[in-house]
Amino acid sequence: MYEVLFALTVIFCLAGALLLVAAERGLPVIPFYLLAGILAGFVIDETALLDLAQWGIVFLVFLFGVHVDLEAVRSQGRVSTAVGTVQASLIGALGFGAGLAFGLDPLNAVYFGVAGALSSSLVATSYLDERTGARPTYERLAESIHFTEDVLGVLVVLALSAFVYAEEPAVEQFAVAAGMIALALGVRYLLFHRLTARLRGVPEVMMLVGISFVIGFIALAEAAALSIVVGAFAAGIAIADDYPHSLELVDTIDDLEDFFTPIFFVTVGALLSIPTLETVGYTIALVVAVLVLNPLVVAFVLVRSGFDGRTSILAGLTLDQVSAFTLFVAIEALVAETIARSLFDAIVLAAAVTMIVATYTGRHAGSIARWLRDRGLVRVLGESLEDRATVARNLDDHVIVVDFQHGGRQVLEACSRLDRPVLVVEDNPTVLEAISEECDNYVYGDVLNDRVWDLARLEHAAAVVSLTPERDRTETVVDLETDVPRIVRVDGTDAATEFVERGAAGVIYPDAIAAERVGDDLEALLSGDVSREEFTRRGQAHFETPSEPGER
Amino acid sequence: MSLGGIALATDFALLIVAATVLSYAARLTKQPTIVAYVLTGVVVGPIGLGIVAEDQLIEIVSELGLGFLLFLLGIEMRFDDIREIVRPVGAIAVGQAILQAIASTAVALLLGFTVFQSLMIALATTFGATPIIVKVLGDKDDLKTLYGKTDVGILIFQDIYLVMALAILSVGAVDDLGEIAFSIGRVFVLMGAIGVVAYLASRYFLPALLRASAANKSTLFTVGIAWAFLFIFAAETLELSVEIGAFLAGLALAQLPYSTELKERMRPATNFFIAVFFASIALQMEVDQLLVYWQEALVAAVVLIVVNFFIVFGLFYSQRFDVETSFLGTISMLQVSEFSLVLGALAVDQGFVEEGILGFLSLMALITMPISTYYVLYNRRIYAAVEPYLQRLEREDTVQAQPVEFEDHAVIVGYSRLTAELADVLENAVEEVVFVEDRAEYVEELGDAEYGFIFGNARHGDVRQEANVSGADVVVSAAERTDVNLRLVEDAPDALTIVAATTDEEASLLYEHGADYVVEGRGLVAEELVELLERLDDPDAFERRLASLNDRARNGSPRTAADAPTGGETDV
Repeated sequence: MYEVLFALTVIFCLAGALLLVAAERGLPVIPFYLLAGILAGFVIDETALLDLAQWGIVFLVFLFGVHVDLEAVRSQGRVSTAVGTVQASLIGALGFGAGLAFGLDPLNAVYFGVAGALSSSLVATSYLDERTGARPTYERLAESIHFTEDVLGVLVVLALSAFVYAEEPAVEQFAVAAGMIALALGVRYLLFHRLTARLRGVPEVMMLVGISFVIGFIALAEAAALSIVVGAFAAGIAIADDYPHSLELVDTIDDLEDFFTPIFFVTVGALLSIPTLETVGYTIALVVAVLVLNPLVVAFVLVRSGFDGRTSILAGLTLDQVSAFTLFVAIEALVAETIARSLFDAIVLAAAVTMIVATYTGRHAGSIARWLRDRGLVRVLGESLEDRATVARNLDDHVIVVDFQHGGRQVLEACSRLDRPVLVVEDNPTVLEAISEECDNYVYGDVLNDRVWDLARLEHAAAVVSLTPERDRTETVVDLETDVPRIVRVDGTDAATEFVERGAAGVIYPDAIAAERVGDDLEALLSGDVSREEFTRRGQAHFETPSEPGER
Repeated sequence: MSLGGIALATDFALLIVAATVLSYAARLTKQPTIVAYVLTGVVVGPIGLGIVAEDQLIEIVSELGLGFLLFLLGIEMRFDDIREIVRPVGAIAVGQAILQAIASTAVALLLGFTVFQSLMIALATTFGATPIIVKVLGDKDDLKTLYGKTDVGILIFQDIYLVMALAILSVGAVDDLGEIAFSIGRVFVLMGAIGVVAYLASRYFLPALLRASAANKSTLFTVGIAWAFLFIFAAETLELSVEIGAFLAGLALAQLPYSTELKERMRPATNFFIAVFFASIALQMEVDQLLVYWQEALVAAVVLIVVNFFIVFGLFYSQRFDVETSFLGTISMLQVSEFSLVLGALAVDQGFVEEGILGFLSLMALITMPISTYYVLYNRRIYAAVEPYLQRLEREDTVQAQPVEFEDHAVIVGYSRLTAELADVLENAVEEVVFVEDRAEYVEELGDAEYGFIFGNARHGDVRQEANVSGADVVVSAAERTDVNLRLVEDAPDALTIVAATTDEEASLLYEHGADYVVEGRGLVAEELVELLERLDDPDAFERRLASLNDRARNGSPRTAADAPTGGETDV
């Protein structure tokens, strides 16, 4: 008891202290956990924690499974699946080759390739926090690419457990795993809601049900000699994360995960040893692969499949970090004693380095994209515009709406009543079809690109309305050299002041607009001017889209 | 090392699965989960199927569970909650502890236990069971009634008593009287020292620390756990019981605004660990140890319920509570508590008593808890039945229920430009405006404002309860999560509800569930833009409209000059 208590105290105190630093600077937490682990490694004996660390893996993978939005993946996943697969297999093959060239044995070369190929930040980090509605195209795209890579991660773990760790390597393992996933899907759609219907308002028992699912599927996995990661993933799939389970089951398990996450990552850090020259070599190779090659390959494939340069580069930049799955693979390999110690250290180090760099590139993605465009990279990748623009030859006095998804559609519908021509500038090819249905004029492309504005006949326009939530795109619109009034979306009073001074004719601050309108309606209700029914009707009127009067 | 790390934990897995099945059954029969947990140990342990033995993992987790349980107990000790009734509550609690201890000792002696055993039993059986009282009364929405508040207040006093008892038991069995006195003295000095550290920290160090950690969802939790472990570890190192360290760690956090959120974040882990703790109690027991005193347990359960009823009712009545409050407050307290098992388990560990006494206590808990759940659940019906007989006890000038903290109020979830302006509009229409917000950057601002403020995320049931959402007149939510908004709308079916949504689908869903007004930013922005673009052909009108749009965006709410936050919430 004493040793475990001591270890846990050290882990949480170090993790807590370093997390404060991370939170202060807005840095990612995992590198700090790893750092805490390195410090903790001096005083604790990590073998005492491997049990708990494995529970950590289980919870992380389980939660990943829980949060998989099967419907969303089905509806918009095709491009990203292709992109993720192409990137991972290309870099994976390169990495495998490089590993062999480094003189690693084939299995370690596989680990090396996996570490270079898989990129994701979804597990344990941003997955839940950034569930806001106003997400730009590249983020949605990145999310589904990440998802693809995480699934590849599960496949890798499965393959390793089938061919390497199993006593008798066998292909049947895949069939068994597929059967488990099928069982999980069956539970999700047939059993789960019935089982939990009576547990409403009892998060305690809901949580135990969730944990029992994990344990049950893990037991199945072990009975079938599969990796526990596969069992945990299946258990996650079996749990539906919609309302009200999202509140009573998923959130509760998330909280539990916060307990195991530090233990897992700190233990990983504690397993590091002093790097040798060999380790440093591997680390550099991995860092280059992950920071440079992965984003480039992804950007290239995206541009080639029709995305504009900015979206492609930004999506690519989200992939510049070592996957948490890679760390799972590394730990499993370490436990099975099949990985070279120097390679294990290199993987953990590369994870720490890339995760920290990824924070920087994530924050400055917009300017990086602009810088790369100025250096001609986008042209090299092969961006093209003309075939995706439809503009009436003599379009005049029109309103240019930037960003269809964040309110542009509603503006479009509203403008159709005004008899004013509208042109949409959009950077998400997946909504182009919807745009072309609703609007005669549109340009697909990146606001950074002057050609887009030529095509949009900016000089003949009456106004530009930019609804994008992304700051760098807003800046670009405000800074356009033109007399046409530009009205841009902001999300705060400071930004409003700044952009008006910078030349925006008007600023749209949605929260302020909502405050005015809802406040007026509420005042009318409170003063007795309108009835409660009328109040509700007014609220509904705000969101009824004018062109579809019947729909609520 | 092998990949079988978890396979080795089969015992653990079986224990959890069994606990799940039994607590599911408990839920269906409205029984508290704790009964299910204790039964789990009985069923799968040596007494029942014998398929689970206590292993190291179970031991560690149950020990952690106990530590966390006491930590939460400490966090929940908010002195503000009972300030107004502290005097009568204190009198009842002290009187009850003394009188019940005498009664229990007498009953135990009559049943043939030795003096020492009888004292142990008395020490262990004077508590009310928090999981039953708080859970059942909470479900009945009775926690804010006078009797509910009084019971919760008594439980808080009992916690102090429990910590003392733990401190004394942790001394361990020693023979020499002088040594005992020395050991107890040492325990209290060390406890005092830790307490002073905790107090100083809560005054000077923790507010800044938690404020910094509240910036991130995981940090607050990790820092909270680290704080708990630090004290648990210190207690262990000083050879105090870990429970005392945990309790003091929690107490240091209790009076800070972050305590509710932190408590709610820790609760799942605690529930999980504590399930293992209660299930593990019976794992150490053989059948004959559990059943050795079964007749005594039956008799004692019945006798003590009856005797304690008169003791507690008399105490309530003597503190000038009215008959109904006295009756309801009394019957809620009539059961053997989970703390009896905590103390019993510790006493066995320290060698004060043998397993049989723990079996006796477990049996009493297993008998009284399920029964008491039903009489707490149907307390008003029982009262209606006995009311005629109690009528002549009625009198004037009884303790009056204080108005609950928030009533006829507006709950506003999320602090933003929108909600700040709506708060201004609502200010005069409701008794009070209460903000619920879990972003640290607004803590000071909201803490200083004239509005009520609860730091926490509305997804937690306790946070909604603390804000008394179900009793609110108006509920406004700018929360981004539709599931949270749905729950708020459902929690307050009669209130005026104004909630935010991002998409048409979410808005429709919220209306279907009874929302009165859904704020959908995209629609509102489109409306505004249409009105603006209509004026494109009239430059003057267009300019004027733009100017007013810009003024609104750059300045605060026109309804008051008050400071509005500068961040945006409404999504487009």
